[in-house]
Amino acid sequence: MRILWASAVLCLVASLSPLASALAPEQQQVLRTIEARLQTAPQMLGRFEQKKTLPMLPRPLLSSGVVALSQDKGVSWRVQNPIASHRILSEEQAGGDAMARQIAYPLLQIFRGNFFALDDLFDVAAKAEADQWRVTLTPKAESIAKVITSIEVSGDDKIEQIRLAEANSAVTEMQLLDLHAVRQGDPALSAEFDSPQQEQ
Amino acid sequence: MMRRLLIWLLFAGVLALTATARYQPGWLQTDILALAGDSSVSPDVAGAQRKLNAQLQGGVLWMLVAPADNAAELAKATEVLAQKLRASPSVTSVQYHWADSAGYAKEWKTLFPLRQQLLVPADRYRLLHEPDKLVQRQLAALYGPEGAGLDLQHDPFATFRRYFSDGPQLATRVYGQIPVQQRNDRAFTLVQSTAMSTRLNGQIDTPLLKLRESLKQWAAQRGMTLLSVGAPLHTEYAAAGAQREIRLIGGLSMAAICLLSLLVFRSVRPLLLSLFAIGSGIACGAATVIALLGHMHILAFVFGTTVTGLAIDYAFHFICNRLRPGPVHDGDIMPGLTLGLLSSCLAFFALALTPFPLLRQMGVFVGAGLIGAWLTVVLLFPLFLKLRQRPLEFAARLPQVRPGYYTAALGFLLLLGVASLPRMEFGDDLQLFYQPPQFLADDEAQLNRLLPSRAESSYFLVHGGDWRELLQREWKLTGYLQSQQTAGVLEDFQSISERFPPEDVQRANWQLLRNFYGSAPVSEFYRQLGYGTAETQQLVSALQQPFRQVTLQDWLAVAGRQYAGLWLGCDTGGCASVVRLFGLQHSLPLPEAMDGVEFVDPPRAIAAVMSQQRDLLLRLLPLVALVVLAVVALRTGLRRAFNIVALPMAAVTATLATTILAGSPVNLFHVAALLLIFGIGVDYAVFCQLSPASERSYTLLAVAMAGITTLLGFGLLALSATPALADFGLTLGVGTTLTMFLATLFFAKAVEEGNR
Repeated sequence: MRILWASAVLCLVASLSPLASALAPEQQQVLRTIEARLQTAPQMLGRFEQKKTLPMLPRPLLSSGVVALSQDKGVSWRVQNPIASHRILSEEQAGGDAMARQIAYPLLQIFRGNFFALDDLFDVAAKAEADQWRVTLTPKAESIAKVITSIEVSGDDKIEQIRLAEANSAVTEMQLLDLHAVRQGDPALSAEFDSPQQEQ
Repeated sequence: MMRRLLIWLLFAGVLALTATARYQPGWLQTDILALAGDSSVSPDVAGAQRKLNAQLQGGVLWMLVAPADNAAELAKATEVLAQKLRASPSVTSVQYHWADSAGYAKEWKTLFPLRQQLLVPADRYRLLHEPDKLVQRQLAALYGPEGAGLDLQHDPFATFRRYFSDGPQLATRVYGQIPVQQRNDRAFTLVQSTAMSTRLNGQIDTPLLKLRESLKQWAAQRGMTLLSVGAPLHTEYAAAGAQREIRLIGGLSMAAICLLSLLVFRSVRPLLLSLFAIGSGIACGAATVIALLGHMHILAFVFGTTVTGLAIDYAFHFICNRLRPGPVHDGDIMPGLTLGLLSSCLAFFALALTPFPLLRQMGVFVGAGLIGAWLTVVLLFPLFLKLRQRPLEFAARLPQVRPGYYTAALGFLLLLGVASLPRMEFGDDLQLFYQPPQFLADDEAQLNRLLPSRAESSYFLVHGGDWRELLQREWKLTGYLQSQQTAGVLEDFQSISERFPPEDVQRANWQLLRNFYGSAPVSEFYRQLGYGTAETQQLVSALQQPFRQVTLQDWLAVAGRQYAGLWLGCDTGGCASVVRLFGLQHSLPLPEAMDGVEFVDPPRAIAAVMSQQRDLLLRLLPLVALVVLAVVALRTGLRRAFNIVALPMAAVTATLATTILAGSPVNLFHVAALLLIFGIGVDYAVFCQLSPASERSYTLLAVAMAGITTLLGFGLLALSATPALADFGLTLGVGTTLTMFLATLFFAKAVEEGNR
C-alpha cells in the first residue's frame, strides 16, 4: 500500500516510543492563560520577516512578505523579498515533500494559537510572564525529532516570534508584524488565498 | 456366483493399485486458468497469479476512521485495535507501524550513493524542459516557513529525497509510531493483518466475520468507524453460505431420496446398493483420471461426479426388473443396460479425445465412472439384491393418447429449440460463482472513497530474456502508463523500473543532473545564498558523483517489500515481473503491441476460459448425439436409433429454449446440465424402446424413480444462492421433467398401440 509506504518513510529510523502523555495540570493552566491572552480572529492579515541560518551557508537567509490566516483555508505565506514565492499551509496539506507536510501542521496550529492540539505530537512546555509568554514544542515521534529539535513560539496578545531549530543546527526565526484581524471576505485577504501557489 | 464378486474385486484392486502408483499430491487443481489449454494462458501468468494471490489472499486491511480533529484519539484506538487483532486466534500477523526502520535505513544507505542517477518522473521532466523551476522550488523551500531537513551539501535540490519518499500525496501525521492520514474531514489509520485460512471442516463457523462485527461495535462505541476489506472475509462468508446450502439442500434431497426408495421398494437394500453403485462409479472415474491423466480440475470433478449420477438409472432398472413376479430374469434387462452404457460411454470418451483439459478430464471421468457403476450393478447386484416381487400394472392405466401425440411433442420441442437458437445470448461472469454480500461491499466502497489507491485485480505481466531486457520493456510500459495517468484513466501504478530504471535511463538521469549542476542557474542559486565564485565552483564540483552500476539483484536485496513483491524471478526462459495498477477509473485502452508485455485481467481471463469451455461443450453436443446414434443403430437399426436419439435431443433443445426464452444468458453451467440431460434422455429412450410390453410398468417405474431422484438430487440446487449452481439445478430440473414427460408419453402411446 503506497500510502503506508510514504508515511513509513517518515519513520525512517525510529524506535518504539510511548504514545502521547497528557499535559501536567500546571502546564495546562499556563497554556490556558496564554490562549486567553492571545487575541486571535478567524481572519488575520500581517507581515513577516524570516531569518534562516543554515550551518553550511556563509550568511543567514533573510526574507519578508505577507502572511494571512483564515480559519477555513489555512495560512498563506507569501515571500516578496528577495524572491517571490507563495505557499498555503492547510490541514489537508498534500505536497511533494513528506517532511514539509510534517511541519505545516504544527505551524498551522501555532498560527491559530491552538497549542492544546499539539499536545499529542509534541512535548509542550509553556511559560508565561507579565509581558511575554513562551511555548516550547519538542517532537514526540523520534522520526520527526531526527529532523526538528524544537519549535519555540513567543508573543503577548499576538504571536510575535516562531523559532524552528533543526537537528542539523539550522535555525529559522519568523517575526510576525502588524498581525491584525480582518472581516470575512476582505479583498486583501481573499487575494492572498486566491493567487496561485509556488509549485512544490 | 462368487466368480462375479471375484471379478469385481480384481477389477477394483487393479484400478486402485494403478491409481496409487500414479497418485501425486495436488492432483485436484483449483486454479481455473489451468483449464484454458496451453495456448491462451502461459505458465508465467499462472505463476504471477499464484504469487499475487498468495500476497492478497490472506490479507485483511482494517481502516479505523474518526473525525479529523480526533486524530490523537484515533492513534491510541489504533494501538488498541492492533492488540485486539493480535489477541484473536483467527489473525496470524498484524502490521500498523509500518516503520520497518532498519529496512528503510538499509535501502537509503544503498541508494544514496546513486543519488545522481535516480529521479522521480516530475523532476526528470523539469530537468529536461524547465530546469529553472527546480532552482525556484528550492529557493522557495529555503525562504519559506516549512523547509526543513535540507541537505545542501549532498542533495541541494532534494531530487533524491523526493525520489526516496515518492508516493501518494496524502496528509500524514505521525502519532508515536502510528501514521494518521487525513482526507477531507476524516482522519484514518490502517492496520494490515494476515488471517488464518478458512478451514472447511464441516463446521459452519465464521470467526473472522464475528471478530469484524465485535470490533465494529467497539469502534462505534468510541465514535469511530471500522472498515475492513480482504479476500478472507469473502472466503469465510462464501464457505459458510456454501456449507449451509449443502447441509440444507443435500440433507433435504438425501432424505427425500431415501424416503422415496423405501416407499417404493419397501427395503433398505436397493437404496444402499444404488448408493454403493454410484460411489463405485465416482471412485472408478477418479482412479482412472489419476491413472491416465495424473490430475484433474475441481470443476471437472464436480461436473463429472454429477454426470456419473446417471449410473443410478442402471441401478433402478435392475432393481425394478427384480420386482417382476416369477423366476429371476436379470438377463432381460441386460441389452438395455449394455446399450445405455455403450452409448453414454462412447459419447463421453469422444469428449476425452478433444485437446481441452476440462472436456478431456470430464470425458475420462464420466466414461470410466459409468463403466465402474455398470460393473457394480451387473456383477454385485445379482448377488446382494434381495427383493420381494410385486406385480405392477400402472402402465396400462395411463391415459390413452394417439401415437401422433408423442411424435408431435417431439417435433414441437425440437422446433421450439431450433426457433429460439438465434436469440441465444451468452454470459460467463465470476459473479456466477459469488456475489459479495451488501455489508462487505459497503465497507469496501467506503474504504475506497478514503483510500482510492488500492490495487486493482488486473495487472501487466512483463517478460525479458534477462533482467536488463525486462527493465527496458517495463520502462517502455511505464511511459505509456504515465500518459494514461495524465489522461486521468489511472490513478497510479507501481513497477520495478519506476523505482529502479534501466541502466541507460539511469545514465541519462546522471547526465541530466551533471549538466544541471554545471549550469548557470545552479551557480546563480549558490551566489544567491551568499557564496563567492570560487566557493560555488567547489560546491558544484563536489556534487558530481561518478556513475555507479548496480545490478537488479543488489537493489532487490534492499528494496521495500512492495517492490520486491513485483519481481517474479528468472528461470531458463527469462525473467518476469508484474506492474500493478491503482485506481483504474475505466477500462484501460491497451497499448500497441509491446514486446514481452501482457495485460492480465483475472476476472476477465476466467470469464474467457468459461466461455471457451461453454462453446466447446455446446458444439460437441451434436457430435455426442451422432456417436450415440451410430452405436444404437448397430444394435437396433437406423430407424429405431433415430427414435431413441430424438427423445434426448428434443429434451435438450427444449431445455435450452426455455433458458433462452427466460432471458437468462447461457453459461457453462447451463451447458453442463444439458450434457447430463442428454445422458439421462438416452438412457430413458433406450429402455423405453427396448422394453417388451410385459415389462413396461417396471421400466416406467425405473424411469420415474431415476427421474425423481435426479430432480431431488440436483434439481434442488435451483434453490442455491450461488447463481452457477442455481442455473445448473434449474436447467436440470426443466430437462429431467421434459425427459420424463416424453418417456411417459411414449409409454402412453405404446399402451394404445398394444391395445390394438
